[in-house]
Amino acid sequence: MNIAFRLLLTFNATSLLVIIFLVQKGYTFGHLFTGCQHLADLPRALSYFVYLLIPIMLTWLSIFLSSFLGRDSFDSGKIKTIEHANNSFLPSYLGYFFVALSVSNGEALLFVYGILFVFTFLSQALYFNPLFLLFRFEFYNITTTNGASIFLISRHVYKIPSEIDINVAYRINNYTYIEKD
Amino acid sequence: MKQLIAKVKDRSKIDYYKLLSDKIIYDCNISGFQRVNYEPDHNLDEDSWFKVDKFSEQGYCIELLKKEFISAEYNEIPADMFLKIAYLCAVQDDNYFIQKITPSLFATRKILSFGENVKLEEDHRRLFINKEPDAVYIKSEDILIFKNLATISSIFKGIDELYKEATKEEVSEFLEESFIELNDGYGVDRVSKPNRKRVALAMSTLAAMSAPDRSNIFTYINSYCYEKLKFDSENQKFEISSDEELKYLLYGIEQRFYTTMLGQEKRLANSIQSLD
Repeated sequence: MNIAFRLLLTFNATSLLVIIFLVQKGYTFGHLFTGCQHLADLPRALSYFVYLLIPIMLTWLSIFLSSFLGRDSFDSGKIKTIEHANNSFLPSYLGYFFVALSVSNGEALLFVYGILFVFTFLSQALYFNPLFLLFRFEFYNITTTNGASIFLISRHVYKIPSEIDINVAYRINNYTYIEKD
Repeated sequence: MKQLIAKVKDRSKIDYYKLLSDKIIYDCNISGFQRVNYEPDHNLDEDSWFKVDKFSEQGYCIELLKKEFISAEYNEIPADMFLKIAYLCAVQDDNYFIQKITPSLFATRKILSFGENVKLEEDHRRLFINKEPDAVYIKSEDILIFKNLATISSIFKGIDELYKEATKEEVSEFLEESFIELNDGYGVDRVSKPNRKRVALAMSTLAAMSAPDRSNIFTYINSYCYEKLKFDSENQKFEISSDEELKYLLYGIEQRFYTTMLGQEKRLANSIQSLD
């Protein structure tokens, strides 16, 4: 279960690379399913929109499934520092974009995406998924009073450490927790 | 939130892992426990526990109990660590329930489980949880309660000093007896745990003895232990300079030496049973 969930998160976090590749090459449904003439007649934008919808749906699924993860709590007074981390996506995502734009063909994409997938999976940076922002999640780096550094995904807007009083946070991995409500 | 963590004995640097959350592991009402100060010869009632006050200030308190508990700081336990668990600690409402894990608590026998069908389970990755923990740390009062000092002394290294403290007076009283002469700097601090137990016994045996009996006992001890224990027969004094010598003296007072009827072999009975 845990590995399947992590594979799902990895796919969500890296899928934008494939989408950008498809868009850049102009691969619409008509190109992918050559047999169906009526698909080729659809506007290009519709294809792209559907592409985008897939990781969004899967991100929603991953948020839903996270209820089955291990539970922890962060009681008030046990957090020492807090730092907003929404922007930390930008550098790595720009990286994905440029890679996707410069990939020349399907084979190269398969290879590049494969490497990226494996390393994202192993690095456990699974939360590097800006699609969470669409679901109104915020990202925080927090430090506990004993000095442990933790990445927290939450819908709440926190500014000062004492505001954090979380009854249930789900453990995505040992460094990443998500507060769902 | 309720959390269950485990301490493992392993060479890796991480030694605590998180096992479970949100489950009540020990369902006992600690406020109903009677608490008594530790005394080695105290026979605990079923509902009473020994206690140590100001536990976090003691040298043998573990770091886990001193710092604030934040479950997110503990990694999830990897599968290869299950068999290395040294003790469990269930954190429930600021109380820490600690259970020592011994190999016998792992299910290694075949188990029949009754669900919809009867199934035979041979999977050995099961761990029994006792009805009662071995110790409970009540953080709000800074008190540790426990039932058996020997069980928890591997968890709280050095807690057996409680035992030594409690018996110190008796031991020093015994060593000051007129028939003992201490040598080589041997003294109350160097008396081992098993000898402390024997001292308590020997004291009561001695107290029941008349003066001539005592003198007879000394001759008896000397006749068996003249090689191991120096006896000054003029002053009626034994020279004690090591734990072993003390042990022979204590065994002697308990009359644990005997000679076989056939063969005349001299023997020491390290355990006895009364036939009367």
